[in-house]
Amino acid sequence: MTDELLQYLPTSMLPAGTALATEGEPHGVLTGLLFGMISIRAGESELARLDQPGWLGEIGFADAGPATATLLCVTDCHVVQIDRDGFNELVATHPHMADTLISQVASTLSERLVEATKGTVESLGAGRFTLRSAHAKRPMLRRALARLMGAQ
Amino acid sequence: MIQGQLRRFELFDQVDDAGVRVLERLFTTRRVRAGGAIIKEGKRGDELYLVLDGNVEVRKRKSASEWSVRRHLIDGQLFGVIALLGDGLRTATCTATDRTLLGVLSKADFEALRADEPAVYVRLMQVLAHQLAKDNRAVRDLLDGAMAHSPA
Repeated sequence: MTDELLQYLPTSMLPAGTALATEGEPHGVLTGLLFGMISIRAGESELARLDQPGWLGEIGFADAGPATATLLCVTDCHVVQIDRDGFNELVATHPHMADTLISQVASTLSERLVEATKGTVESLGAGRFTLRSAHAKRPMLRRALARLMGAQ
Repeated sequence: MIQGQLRRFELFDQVDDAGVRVLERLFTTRRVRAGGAIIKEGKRGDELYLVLDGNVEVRKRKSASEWSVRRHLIDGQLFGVIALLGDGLRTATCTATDRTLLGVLSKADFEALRADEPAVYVRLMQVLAHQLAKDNRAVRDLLDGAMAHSPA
């Protein structure tokens, strides 16, 4: 499953300083962080830093609305990305993979909603994580992707 | 069955005609009087709801006498998604404020759809993710509004 997913969700390495999304601007791309650190910002404030496998951009991906936050690579980041067209292609060619992916997105959105409703906004991915080389070997990427997809 | 209803709602634009026909066969209808309780926070539930005609108030309890969140759902909006995707525990109380017609999808039919019509299931999950994304935005707006009006 994860090997197949890596074919359809190819990894890329983004250098530190790359803006993955800008708050208020059209986005629609789902990003899965495998390795690295991403700053989640709103206005002038940093809301959180994500430094372990997790999804970002799921709200804009799901409703095609503007990005709710600015996402900035603090370090070099290994990511997987898919847009809505890519997802439609995945539904047509590999519905079981599309099922896994959209189930993860819906689950993440559900958790975010429960947290937001409680008024807790600090839970967007705090925690320690050892940064890996941007050229991490494929088994490491598979493990990270498996973790991202909830398989571990 | 809610024949000819889903195409009225933008949320279902991402489902093709064949998929819409499958989903319309699975939804049943239920009428609720004004003031009638549909979901109670903390109770277990195994149904997903779509407002077909009417108005539903969503409230979340802050304490025995206070509600922390109040929102209104109108035609075309889904609710009961978090419990459907999670452990079945309702996270808010939903009450019809007018005489309301609901579309109802049982968890059993939802799960059967995954096996019987995987591509339609993925599209329905996409619809649920879309609704959750909209809900996330709505709750964030409520929080932003509350923070803007809180004493300095």
